[in-house]
Amino acid sequence: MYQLITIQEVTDQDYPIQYLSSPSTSIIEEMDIRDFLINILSNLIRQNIKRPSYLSLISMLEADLSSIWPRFEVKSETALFEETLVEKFMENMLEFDIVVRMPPLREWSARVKVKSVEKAKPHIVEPEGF
Amino acid sequence: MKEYPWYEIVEGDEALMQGDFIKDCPVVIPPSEISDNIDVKIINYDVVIMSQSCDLVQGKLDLVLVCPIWPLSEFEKRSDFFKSKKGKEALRRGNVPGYHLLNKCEIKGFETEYLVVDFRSVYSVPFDFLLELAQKRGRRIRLLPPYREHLSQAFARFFMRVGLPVDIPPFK
Repeated sequence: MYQLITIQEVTDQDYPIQYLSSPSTSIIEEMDIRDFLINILSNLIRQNIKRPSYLSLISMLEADLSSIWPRFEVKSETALFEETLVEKFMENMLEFDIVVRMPPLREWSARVKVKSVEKAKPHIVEPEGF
Repeated sequence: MKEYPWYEIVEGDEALMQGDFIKDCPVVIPPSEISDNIDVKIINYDVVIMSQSCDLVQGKLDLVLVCPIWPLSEFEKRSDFFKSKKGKEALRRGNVPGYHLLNKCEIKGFETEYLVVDFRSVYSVPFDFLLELAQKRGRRIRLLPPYREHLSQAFARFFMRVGLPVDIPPFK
């Protein structure tokens, strides 16, 4: 029997978690994954980080964390999952055609004496090396 | 880590370049009828130069394209969309085609908040006039690469949009 120290029992964040005996490799891997997830969650709670929208997709997944390569499977209908996925990502791709009419900083009028009115001539800029 | 500043300050008499900010630039709006004596409306904006630097430096332009710039807070006051986090985030991501967000300038004496460039209000100002005005206004803020090219690209993206009279219906 080995003594397990998890992150909940460690008050100092920098304190490395040690295993006092030598459990099997698979158990260590499982503990590492669990500790890693606990660490992320506790950090999120501590920093009061808002969940990005795509995280809501996680609730639709069934996670098997027993291996070092966690396996995720869709809990509900695949079509629904895909629909939600597309919806979430479309939110980030949408363009907003918004118009805000801003008044100028300053507006004033002036009386102008017109000197001449003439038809404009083209100003031709020839390409270089022609 | 290498720093990539957004802005620098240039002297008033330096050559005009794309991304230069000109304060209080007047734009003359003529009346529809021109006679010997006319009343013109003059509107002033803080503007950013949109014309390409190479065209400006080589003197290939008689008229310089400028767009008004506004503090983001002014937009927030006038639009619920820009007041919302969603709206500001869409602007930051470049998902609001008519507008472009520029970073704050933190250079001492030239501090600004976040700025919005309005691509829908494009004005052309005579080159010689703008050169003289820039000299009179003194030292000015200049947007630096690659943010300058990013602004130019956003303007191009806005300008090259094509609205289709009959669009393909969305897939459902």
